[in-house]
Amino acid sequence: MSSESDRDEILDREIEARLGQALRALPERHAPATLESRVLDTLARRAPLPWWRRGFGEWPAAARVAFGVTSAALVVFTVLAAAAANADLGSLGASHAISTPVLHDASVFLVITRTLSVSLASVLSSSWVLGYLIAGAVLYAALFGLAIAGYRTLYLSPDLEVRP
Amino acid sequence: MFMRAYQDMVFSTAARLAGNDAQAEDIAQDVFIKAFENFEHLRLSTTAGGWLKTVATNLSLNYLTRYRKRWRLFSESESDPDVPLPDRALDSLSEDERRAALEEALRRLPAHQRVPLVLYHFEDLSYEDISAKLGISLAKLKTDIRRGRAALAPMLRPHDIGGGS
Repeated sequence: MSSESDRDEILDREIEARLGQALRALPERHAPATLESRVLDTLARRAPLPWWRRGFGEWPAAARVAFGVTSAALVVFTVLAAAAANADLGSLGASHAISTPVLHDASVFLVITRTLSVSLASVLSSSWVLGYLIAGAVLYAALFGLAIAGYRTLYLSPDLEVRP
Repeated sequence: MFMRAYQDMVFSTAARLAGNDAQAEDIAQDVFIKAFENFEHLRLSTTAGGWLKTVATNLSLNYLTRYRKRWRLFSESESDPDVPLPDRALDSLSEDERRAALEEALRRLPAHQRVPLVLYHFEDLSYEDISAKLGISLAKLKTDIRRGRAALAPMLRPHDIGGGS
């Protein structure tokens, strides 16, 4: 019995060796003649796209920095403008003592922006600002990591991703 | 020039894993698009061939992974098809014909046997690596590979096996 299984194992190993040899001796398949033109066509279709129409990751570094700075400036400007408008409209409503639908809608907006600006001002003036920033960054990174892990777990096998 | 040097290797890798020439061409196209994106690095690299082979392998496996559920189902339930032997006796075939017959027999193997065989014999991966890459147990992998080899064994010349008897 044991000698029979030994024989089988020897035969298996022999087949493995011979088959491995035969498979490795197979010549490479010829790529279809259309492959090169398909690749070149795809690259040609991609090439004319200007950088601003590609993904953010493919933007030039200077453009990405400028975009970030502009966005941050826009946020600051919006908050400051809202605070200024808040003050102007508030004084207008108080001095004329009018109650129109427009001013009613504006007052809701004013309350919201005032609350936001006051909150922002208190946060910015507090010594906890660094803590808030760090906590925000950590939470963002955690959320980002969670999303990637979820995507890879649900849709991709991590071992199969393309690595150079 | 770069592409011509490597396109047969990339296509062969994809075709043997995917078992489908049309899909292999799509995979090869994606490989060269990625190569283009990394061309600055690859142009000067002495390991460009290895990089391309790895990407071709991984993209082929990604393609197969998309059908993994179906593949697993077939793997459990599909009866192994007989690999057709050439009409003439193997010994009467020329070397080229014999190789073509072996290539065709490999292509006709079910994916759950073909892919591990290709990874083992062409990519030189260990059983453990293949098992981890494909997400199947080592025991099942060995069974699949043994069955795949058994299906291809008739394609070997008789004197290749059994000490020439």
